[in-house]
Amino acid sequence: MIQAIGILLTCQLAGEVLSQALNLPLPGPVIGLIILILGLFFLGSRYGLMEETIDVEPIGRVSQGLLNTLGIFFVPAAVGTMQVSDVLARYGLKLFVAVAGSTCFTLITTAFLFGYIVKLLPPDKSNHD
Amino acid sequence: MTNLTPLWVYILGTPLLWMTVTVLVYVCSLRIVGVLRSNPCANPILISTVTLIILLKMTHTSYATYFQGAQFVHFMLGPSTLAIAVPIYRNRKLLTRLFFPILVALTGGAITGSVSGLLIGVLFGLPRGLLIAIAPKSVTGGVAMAITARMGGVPSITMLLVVTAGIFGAIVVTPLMNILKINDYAGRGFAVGVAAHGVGTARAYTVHPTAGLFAAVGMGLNAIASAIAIPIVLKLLL
Repeated sequence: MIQAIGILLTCQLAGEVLSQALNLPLPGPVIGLIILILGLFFLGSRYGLMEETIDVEPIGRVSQGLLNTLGIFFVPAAVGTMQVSDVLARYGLKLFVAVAGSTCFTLITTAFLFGYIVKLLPPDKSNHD
Repeated sequence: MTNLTPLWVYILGTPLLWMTVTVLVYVCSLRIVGVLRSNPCANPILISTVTLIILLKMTHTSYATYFQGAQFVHFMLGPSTLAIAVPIYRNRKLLTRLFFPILVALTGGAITGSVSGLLIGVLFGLPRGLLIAIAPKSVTGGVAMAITARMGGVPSITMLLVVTAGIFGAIVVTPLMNILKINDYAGRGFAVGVAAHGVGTARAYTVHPTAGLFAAVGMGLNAIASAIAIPIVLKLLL
């Protein structure tokens, strides 16, 4: 358990250090995420972390626990909008329309592209699982 | 009463108070959402945020005071972003098997997600700080805030827009896909993960396990794809 927390924090710290030191456009947690994904893909099996059993390993359980409660971590920042209530009163409706419209476009584009390319693949491959 | 005053002053001064209130309000919001299960507008993040703002206004508490306690909850955004590595690794076989559909849909989704929001914003004449805040609205909260902060936007507004995109995407995905006759749960799930991050993913799991699985992968990959794409998009369009 504590090892798993150590892995997450170490990767996050490494990401933060790399992001700042090399002045990368990617934020620290994203570089940390990439480091952890690469670590799991290339070193995972060496340390007994197989993709089928990762959920019962400490790193899998800690991560799933974090993802299951992800919503609460958004709350303190969202409460921060109380400081910019004048901006929201002025632009709130426009912001909402932009977000709603853009969300629809994104849903349609992503689902359409996914379906289109899947159809181009040989059919036996996509049914095989 | 006079005996209680030092205790009250002590409690108000410790970060424990607002951290505890944040957790309790969220737990109550989950209960409310559990009761209102049929209503997709009932979202625990939204209910908690509104409740906490009302509580802070009623008690004349500043956001700075609140954040001294809430920062411990806020801090967890970082580790929870890294936790996304696990669902991606778990679905490794699926990623290799559907590498091209995922890559193309992800690239298209990440670009559409940022560009379309920006263009509507420009059309409305929104100021630059808000345009930057809109661009990452489909990305999971921690990453979206980090992108906005780096590009010089308003991070707290981004978080509110992220929550809005999540709730809106989770509500419209099923009717929208039905109208467009996109019936494949893999594509539907992947799309809602890319467009509506964790909130959309939670919704996808309630619709179909395959949709949920693809949504989790879509959310995770879009955190990376958008972090790469958005600085480029902003540089080109703003």
